[in-house]
Amino acid sequence: MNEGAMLFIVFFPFLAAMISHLINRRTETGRDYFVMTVSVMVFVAAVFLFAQQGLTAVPYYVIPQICGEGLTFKIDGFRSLYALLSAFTWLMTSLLSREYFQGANNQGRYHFFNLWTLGATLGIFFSADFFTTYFFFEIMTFTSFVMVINNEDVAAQEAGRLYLGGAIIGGLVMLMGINLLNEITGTIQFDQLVTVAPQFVNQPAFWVAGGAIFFGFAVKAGIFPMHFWLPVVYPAAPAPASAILSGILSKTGIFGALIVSLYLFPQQDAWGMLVLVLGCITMFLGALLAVFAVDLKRVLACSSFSQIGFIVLGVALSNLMGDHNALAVRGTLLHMVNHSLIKLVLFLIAGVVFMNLGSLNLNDIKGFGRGKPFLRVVFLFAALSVAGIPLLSGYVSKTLLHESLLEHIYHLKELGLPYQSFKWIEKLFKLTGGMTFAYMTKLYVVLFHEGTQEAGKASAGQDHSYIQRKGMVAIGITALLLPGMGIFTGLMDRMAETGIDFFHGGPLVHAVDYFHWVNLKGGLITVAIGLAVYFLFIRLLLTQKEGDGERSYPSCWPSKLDLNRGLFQPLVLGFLPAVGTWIARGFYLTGDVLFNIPFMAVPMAARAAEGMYHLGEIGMQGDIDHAPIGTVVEDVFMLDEATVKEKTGPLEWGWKMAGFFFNIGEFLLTGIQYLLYWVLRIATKAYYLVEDGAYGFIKLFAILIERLGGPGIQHPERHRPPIPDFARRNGRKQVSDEDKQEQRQTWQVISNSISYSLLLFGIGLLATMLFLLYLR
Amino acid sequence: MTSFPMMILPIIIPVIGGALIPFVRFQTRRNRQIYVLAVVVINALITFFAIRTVPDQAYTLVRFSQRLSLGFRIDGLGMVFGGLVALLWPLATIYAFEYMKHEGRETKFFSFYTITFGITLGIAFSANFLTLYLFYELLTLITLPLVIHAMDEKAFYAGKRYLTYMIAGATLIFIGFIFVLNYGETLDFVMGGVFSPETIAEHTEVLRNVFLLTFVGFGVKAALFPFHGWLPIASVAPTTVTALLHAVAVVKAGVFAIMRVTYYSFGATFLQGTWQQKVLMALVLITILYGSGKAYTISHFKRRLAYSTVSQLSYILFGVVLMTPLGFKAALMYLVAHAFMKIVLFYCAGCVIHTTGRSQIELLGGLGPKMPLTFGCFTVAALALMGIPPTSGFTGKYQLFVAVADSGSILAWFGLMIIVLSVLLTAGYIFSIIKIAFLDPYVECGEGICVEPEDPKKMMIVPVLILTAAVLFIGIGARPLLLFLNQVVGLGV
Repeated sequence: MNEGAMLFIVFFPFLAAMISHLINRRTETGRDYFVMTVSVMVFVAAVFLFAQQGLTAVPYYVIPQICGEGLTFKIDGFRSLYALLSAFTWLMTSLLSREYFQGANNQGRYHFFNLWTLGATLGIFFSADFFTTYFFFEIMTFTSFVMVINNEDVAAQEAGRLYLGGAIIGGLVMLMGINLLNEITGTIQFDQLVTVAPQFVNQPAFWVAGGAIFFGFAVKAGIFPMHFWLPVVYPAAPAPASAILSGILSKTGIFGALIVSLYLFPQQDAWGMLVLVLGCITMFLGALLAVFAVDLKRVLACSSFSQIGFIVLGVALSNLMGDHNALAVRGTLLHMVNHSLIKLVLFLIAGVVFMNLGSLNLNDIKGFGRGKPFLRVVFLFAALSVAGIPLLSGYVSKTLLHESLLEHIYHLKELGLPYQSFKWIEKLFKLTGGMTFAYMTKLYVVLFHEGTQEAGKASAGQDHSYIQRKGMVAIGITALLLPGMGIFTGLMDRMAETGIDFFHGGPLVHAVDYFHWVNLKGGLITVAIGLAVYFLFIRLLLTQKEGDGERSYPSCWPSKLDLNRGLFQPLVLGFLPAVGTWIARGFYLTGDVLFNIPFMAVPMAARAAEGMYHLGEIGMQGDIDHAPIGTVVEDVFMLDEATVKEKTGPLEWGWKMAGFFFNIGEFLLTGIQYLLYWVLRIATKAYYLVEDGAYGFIKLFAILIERLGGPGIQHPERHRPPIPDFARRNGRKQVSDEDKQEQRQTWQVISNSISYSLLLFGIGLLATMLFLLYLR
Repeated sequence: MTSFPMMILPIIIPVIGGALIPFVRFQTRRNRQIYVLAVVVINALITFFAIRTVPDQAYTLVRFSQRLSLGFRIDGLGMVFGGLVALLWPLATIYAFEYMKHEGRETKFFSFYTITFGITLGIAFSANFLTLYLFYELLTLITLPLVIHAMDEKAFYAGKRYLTYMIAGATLIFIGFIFVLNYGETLDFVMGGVFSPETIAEHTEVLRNVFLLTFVGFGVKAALFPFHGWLPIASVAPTTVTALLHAVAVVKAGVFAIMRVTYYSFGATFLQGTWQQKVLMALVLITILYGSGKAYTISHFKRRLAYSTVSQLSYILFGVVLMTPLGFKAALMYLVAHAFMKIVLFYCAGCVIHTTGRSQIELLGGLGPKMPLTFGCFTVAALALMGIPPTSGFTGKYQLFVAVADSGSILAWFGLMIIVLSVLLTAGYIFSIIKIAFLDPYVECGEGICVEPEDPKKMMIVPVLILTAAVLFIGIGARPLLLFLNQVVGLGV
């Protein structure tokens, strides 16, 4: 029964997508309702699974046939919880998307791939081995790619490129890691890996495998430094897709990070510290970017990036603390859940803003929320929750993470180990929490306090509503969950308990009193830091007062600090191609010379043969009017006709006059000619080699200097004649048609003679071999 | 020997049936089509029947001397290749009926096209080196008229190149043939090699060198760098020829022959870890990178696919040169997978050329929504080419990864990285086509291509749809095939 429900959840969306495509041909309304129905059905099945969890006798379910290796699924608390959340997210986004996409093109395509993404995502969450994870992971990547580029504008295409590039590299590196892991340990099933991993943890290859797998997942989650695509892609996608990307798809990356950290490297301090450092950087960098961002969706995207950092920090702590990780595990799980819900609300609100105003720039959306109490309330719920204010759900998870950090410090102190660095991390944690509060305050002020009263009214739609009822329901229900969970913390505790098996969490020694003064004080400190950051930093430094007393939000983030444009693009598009060209030209040069030297012999041999024949002919009759054998040879072996004609002229009287000696001379001359030609050619090639290398480095420096705000260098224009060799040899600077023709003919002769020489080569070898045979 | 040799029939029927076509005066085009289809379908059915029923033992047709004979046998490897060919040929024939209408010279075309079917099966079912060599040469000669089908300057040039490359390759193969004849216990194909330990001990180095030559000789058909030159040039032939022959039958015959000599004549264990293996692996890896890199730069639709074939074939050869049973299995899996996905890609290109006359990739802009079935199939096959689950390409690549992990040699891991790089390039060159077709604006027609694009007629699109379904099916339902391949390569069930 449970297996049936799970299979339904995973595979039904794939089928439903095709049905929705068929319906789409008839009626768009029907399709929208169908998609909603599918979401509801999946949601109901997920609720059923979640309610039943723990009752399954055999937790594994294997479909052996698919793709050779077979898919393995497992049903447990955490997995069904995330299935529930995913189905919920899809349901809510589909409620809003009807309104959001009104009049847009490509809706049928969007919904088709939307449902596929749902199925694939659920497949990932239920997977019990890396093969299954990878299987659905790749499907999800490509279906979500179509959702990302849905708008088809410049931003979307740029985003699509980044997303796809990152995903393909990440996916393949992961696949290599998986295979290496399979080779080392003999299994890729998660639960078996836990038991066998300790035997292999001393092997470097095991670490390579784990690192490679982690890399693939980190790209999807957006963990520093693989986050480069995230702040570009989230804003470029349509709002419902952003909500899905940020709320659920990033969690698939976290899912993998959890597997690697808690199943492959449990209690490996080196691994834990690595993840911890990455988490801290992600957390802080994201918040910093969000403080600076001036686009509503970009703020939210950077906020996601930062919250992922919090979660990764939790993952690292769960790993480091070993048996004492009860709090860290609960904090991580709850923060994942919270983040999924909060980002759902916030991105849907961004969608509402966009569909009314058509813009997301903070300067354009000022005062949109005035006179809209519903919007104000839901925004406040979400914003305060993500900032970790008491009575909202975010507070609970952040408190748990903070508590576990303190507990770890306490343990380290007890064991007499160095703990200073963790004190700093704890301070960073608080600071980042404060920054979260600050950038959320910024958004709140922009939307609800600045601007004029008219701004709030002017943005209303034609029927005086800025949102339809369905969208209101979607946002409202999700937003209500946040205070609900925050007040009834027992609910959250119980939710956390469901994930313990998956996380291998330790038993809870003492319950946390969330509303104890110590914890409330933490919340207040966060608020204080947040207010300080907002008023002293954002208000003072990042805004400008305009003439009419309004504030404007200029983009203050120095563009050269953009990791993408500052490092990855110059590296990938400038430096690597330069080096690559250099190396390739080196190879080309060597290969060219080595490859062609044998073929020089062919024209020589042909001429020699021709000469010998004619010698005989002259001797016999002194007349060579009929076709010389050389022409026949060349005809057979496809030497160019034009070349042959050209050659016969001078050679004819030459043979008549000089006979045998001339032919020897001709033979040598050809050799010398070729030798000279090749020396010249090699020299030119070598010159280009140096030039290319120099050019590459000059370009690199130019890019770097430009990025650093220097004077900027004029890129040297390349003036390379397309066919230089012959022009130079003929002493001309310009390339004439004659040169081109000469070059083409020569190359044709050379390339045609390749086949001839192959034949000769083969015959020669055959003779040698036979000789060897009989010699023996 | 006792019963009638079933496996001879599928070789003879198309040869006779095809040779008769020019002599029979068909009243209408339809009659000829029915005749061709009947021959091909009946032959395919007989092939399947033979594969199912004929026991795995050699049948000698003609015996020239003690060691030289013409013999046939259906073993596991032959079953895979023969089955593949028999599966694809009827569908390809149906596609060709519609496609060849605008190419002309249909009588000549279908005559040779049908004969080729028999010759290819002859390669699949040959029991010894001599028979293989014979049919291998015959395949070259019989496909030549198909390559020069257009009968213009370009086609003749392509034909010359094709012939010269093939003959040059055959000389190298002949060396291998002589050595196997002289040193081997038998000319028959025996899993694990035909050289006795004493022979190997005595002539280790020379035999390995000869293997190198033989591999390269067969590699000419398998488009191994630097002997790949004929393949992209031969894409001047009609799309049906390019697709079936140059993506499936001819090149796969090269790969198949390489598998035969590597695992059944010379023996893989004897070649493991030698410098010859490393040289071959290096060649294969160069081909992989070179092919996909070259495909990236080419804007002619079919030629880009041809270079893609060059690169993809070496994925198969990479599995072969791992010289392990798992490598062999991966190679076979990829052989089957690649046959289907490449034929779909070529046929989609053919559909575009047939209905719109556009052969440059820049001109494909906006065709996707206008030809949804064609480009839908193309997308599925493209995803398979990139190795995205659950397509057949993924299954093949996964087996390859498993084989590499199993072989554990450093060079193999290095090769895997090159494959990763190549997949990235593959994504670049194949995804850009999809992107142009679906996202770019429609390109208004220039001179001579003023046709409103739409999906081609049923006769053309239905085979493509079936093949696309097969691409997915082979990926998802690969289990029985993989189990069968386990038996073929001797891994047990």
